[in-house]
Amino acid sequence: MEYAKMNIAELSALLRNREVSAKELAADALQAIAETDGNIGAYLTVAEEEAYRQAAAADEMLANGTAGALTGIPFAMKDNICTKGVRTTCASKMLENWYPVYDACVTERLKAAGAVMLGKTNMDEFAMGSSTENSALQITHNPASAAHVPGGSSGGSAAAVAADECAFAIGSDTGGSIRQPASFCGVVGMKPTYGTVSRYGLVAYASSFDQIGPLTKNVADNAAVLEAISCHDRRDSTSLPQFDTAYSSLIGKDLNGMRIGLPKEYFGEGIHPTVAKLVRDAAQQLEKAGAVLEECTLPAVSYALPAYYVLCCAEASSNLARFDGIRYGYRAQGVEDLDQLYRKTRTEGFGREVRRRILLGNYVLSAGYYDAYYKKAQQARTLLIRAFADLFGKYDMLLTPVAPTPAYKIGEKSSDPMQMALGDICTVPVNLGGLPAISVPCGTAEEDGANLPVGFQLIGPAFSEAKLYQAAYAYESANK
Amino acid sequence: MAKYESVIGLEVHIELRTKTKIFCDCPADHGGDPNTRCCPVCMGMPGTLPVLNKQVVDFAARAGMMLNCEIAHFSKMDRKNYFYPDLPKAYQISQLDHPLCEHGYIDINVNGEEKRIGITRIHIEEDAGKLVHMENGSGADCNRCGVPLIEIVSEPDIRTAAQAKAYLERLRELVRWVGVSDCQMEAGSMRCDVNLSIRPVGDSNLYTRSEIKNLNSLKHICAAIDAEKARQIDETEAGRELVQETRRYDPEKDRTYTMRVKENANDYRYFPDPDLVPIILTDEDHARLRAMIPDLPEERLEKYINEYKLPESTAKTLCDEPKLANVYQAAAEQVQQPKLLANLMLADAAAAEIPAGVWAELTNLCAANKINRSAPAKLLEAYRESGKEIAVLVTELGLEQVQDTGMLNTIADEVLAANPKAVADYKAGKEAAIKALMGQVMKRTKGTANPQEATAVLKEKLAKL
Amino acid sequence: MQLDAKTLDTLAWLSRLNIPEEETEALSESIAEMLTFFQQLSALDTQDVPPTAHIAPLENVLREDIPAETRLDRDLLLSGTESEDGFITLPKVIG
Repeated sequence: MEYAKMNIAELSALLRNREVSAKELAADALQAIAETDGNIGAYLTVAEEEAYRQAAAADEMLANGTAGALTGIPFAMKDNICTKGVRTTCASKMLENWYPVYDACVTERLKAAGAVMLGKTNMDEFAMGSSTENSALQITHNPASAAHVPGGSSGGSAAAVAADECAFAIGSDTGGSIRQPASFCGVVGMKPTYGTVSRYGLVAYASSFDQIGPLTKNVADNAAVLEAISCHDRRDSTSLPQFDTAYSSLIGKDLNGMRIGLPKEYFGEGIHPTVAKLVRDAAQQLEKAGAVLEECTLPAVSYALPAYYVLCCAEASSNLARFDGIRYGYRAQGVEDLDQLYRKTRTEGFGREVRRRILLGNYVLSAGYYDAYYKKAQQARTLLIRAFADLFGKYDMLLTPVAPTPAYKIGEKSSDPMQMALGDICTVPVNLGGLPAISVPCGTAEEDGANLPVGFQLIGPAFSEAKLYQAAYAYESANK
Repeated sequence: MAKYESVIGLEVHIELRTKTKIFCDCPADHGGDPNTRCCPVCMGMPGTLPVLNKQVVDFAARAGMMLNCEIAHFSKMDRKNYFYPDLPKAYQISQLDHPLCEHGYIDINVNGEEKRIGITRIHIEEDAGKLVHMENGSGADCNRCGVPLIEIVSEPDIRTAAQAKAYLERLRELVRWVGVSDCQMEAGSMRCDVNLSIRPVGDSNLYTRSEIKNLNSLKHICAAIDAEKARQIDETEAGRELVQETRRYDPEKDRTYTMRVKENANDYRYFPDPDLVPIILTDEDHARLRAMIPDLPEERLEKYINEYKLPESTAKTLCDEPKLANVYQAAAEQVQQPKLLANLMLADAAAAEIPAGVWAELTNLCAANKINRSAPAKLLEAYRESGKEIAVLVTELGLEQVQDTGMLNTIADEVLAANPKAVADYKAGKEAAIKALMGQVMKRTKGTANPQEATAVLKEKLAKL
Repeated sequence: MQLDAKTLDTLAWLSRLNIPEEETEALSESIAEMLTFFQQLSALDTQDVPPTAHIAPLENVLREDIPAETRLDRDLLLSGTESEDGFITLPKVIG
């Protein structure tokens, strides 16, 4: 386990200098998983055979001079991203034994880059949740404190990175599912601009919000992974045709004159005082590094949460209708007719939260309610997009907390979906706007005798990833 | 007793003749073993996404133009949510509030009475799969999943079965004519649902209607309309209230019956498909598509008879087959002798498969006496085999007509010398004997001699003998 | 507040879900709570505000009508599916 703590840049240097082979790295990482994951529960599937196969391919690339930044680097994949021949469960009983016959675009990209997939990580079932407690398959513990949740829905990915069970991980973010667990676990998580990473092969939760992104040990690694996975993909109609992927290009540049807004709505009631303090401290660090900080206001945030839940549940109710027990996944036994097959399969195959959101989604789309809920939420979305656009006329980016609190205890909120939903308040506006945002660790809060990581969030206009990395890196290097 | 009339609207589904499906690159044509013409996308596997086929938009817009519709500048795809085992995603991608085409019409003529039937809208959508009965239940085949369809919805302007028939026949003719579907009802590439209500003659209100689904021939559609009208009249006269419902037609009993009524009415929960972005058709797009719309079939027929001077039977044969007519039309615009072109094309069994440019070239070569009338058949055979240019093939096969009189003179002398009997016969007054001599000339020139020229040379020489 | 039984029943039908008896109360309360939460939106002035359906600034994303050169084998496509003679098997469908 001598390599497990190293970041991508360090590992890549060792690989290039032939100080270690991809195969040795894979073996080291698999050993780390074997020794650590029993206490963490980050992985749902460890794909040992697949890992060694990819490591062999990586060693070949290293030998023949075609290696890139991620060649030979071991990583973990969230279990809602399709991996050909490797079980992809979405942490649901519905897909517990589903083996995709195709690779997601992101899977293809990482394979082509020579990265080595160690396995698939736990999550809230179908990405619905914020603590990974909604996984139908296992519990994941926060590496900083076993009694606490890792956040979610990409909780397994964040925990795997934080527990040094991989060099980086891939997550998906519909309403904060990369950023919030990154904050809870103390790693860097980026939700890129909608349309920059292909959704082809990502099992859809809410299609107009879902976006894949990296979780890493530091900022520079994060930019390197995003550079590898973002591209135009003609199989995804919402994939943007042209954009600059030089995400690392501004890393190390000074922040002189960068304008950062602090929307006061994000620091008000309901925000844990330690979280607020740590985030304000981070803001001061950025100011010291040359940025110009200013308080601002984003009142539109107040209706972001209901709008988000209406739209997400609506899209989810339709996206998850295909799980009917006929073509793939779980099929209920002992049924006599089709209606029973549908109902029994779906009732048994989906967990409680998934069923709740499907019911809600069908409510807001049904005849007579569409205008009051669904259309209204779409209009609220427009208003929020406009409000963000106004702010980005004045600021290069906004700085906010990622979540109102540090990680909570396992079981503490899981029985109260509304409490859980309110925890998404800082992250969902970004997804409504299709914007990029990064979560960067900024210290720990002492709670229940544990030191729990806290992160701050930087939100930028579409395609501002390079700038977000620039600012995040400046903060990170000032606090090493 | 009150006299009733039917108020009928038709919903027609037509398969578009694209090469691939509407949202993936699987083949869209009929046939194949079950589940061999599908992929993760059309089987709705988790994580897959649709990408719209450009040709579907073009074909649907062309059909709309042919049916006098206004074509949208802004259109979008919506999800229609319902569970059925032939629908893998449990939603059909269709169009709700921004269909591709709206406000069209078809003019029909029934027993000399002209009538205009309005077309409310035409939208694009995906077909579902097929269910079959199996020993222990049902089986699903996804081959048809994602085959592109247009749904053509008429206004409730139809009053009789005869009008419905005329509307459908004309619709079929026009859609075939514009070349976007073969509209074969028997093969299922054209399907029709009937919406029917009755009302006292003179009343202009609309009353409770029933929908008769899955009608697959004109005969059944007409019979179903009559049977359903009679049933509704009976019910009304008997004082029973009609309910809005879906019915089927049983041709053996010649009556309609209720499909199982579900406790809960369907609520399709339409919403914009977040996986597919809007379709924008600019004025330039409209113009580009408009340029591809042929004249009406009857306008063409008239042109062929009056302008091209084709015999009526020839013109009809050409216009009967839209693809043939389109090739003919395109070729005719490049030749001086449209009649010769028609004759050449009708002599070939698969003329529609040959590009118009080739037909024009063959016609022009014949017309200029550069090849003989027997040459096109040989050239077409070689063309089908090699795909080479006609000019190249003419040279390769040595089919240029011999116009060289010097060479013809020599050959004629040889032939006359070698066939004294035929010469004697001719001299004795048997003019037909010249045919035998011509045959010899053709044989020696491998059929490339210009027949008029060769006859003239022979006659001249015989006269001198 | 609770959702009335009939509405819950209709929702369950539209969703093709059963509502286990022991979950009924909690579920109808929780759905009702969320719906109340959603009603915050009604206070919003959305007159003349167009709805946002797509977040990416895209239009006319279309593919050419060209068939795939290769296709997955049926055995692979139907792996993990109950099938017989190439058909996906399911209970008898009435109608």
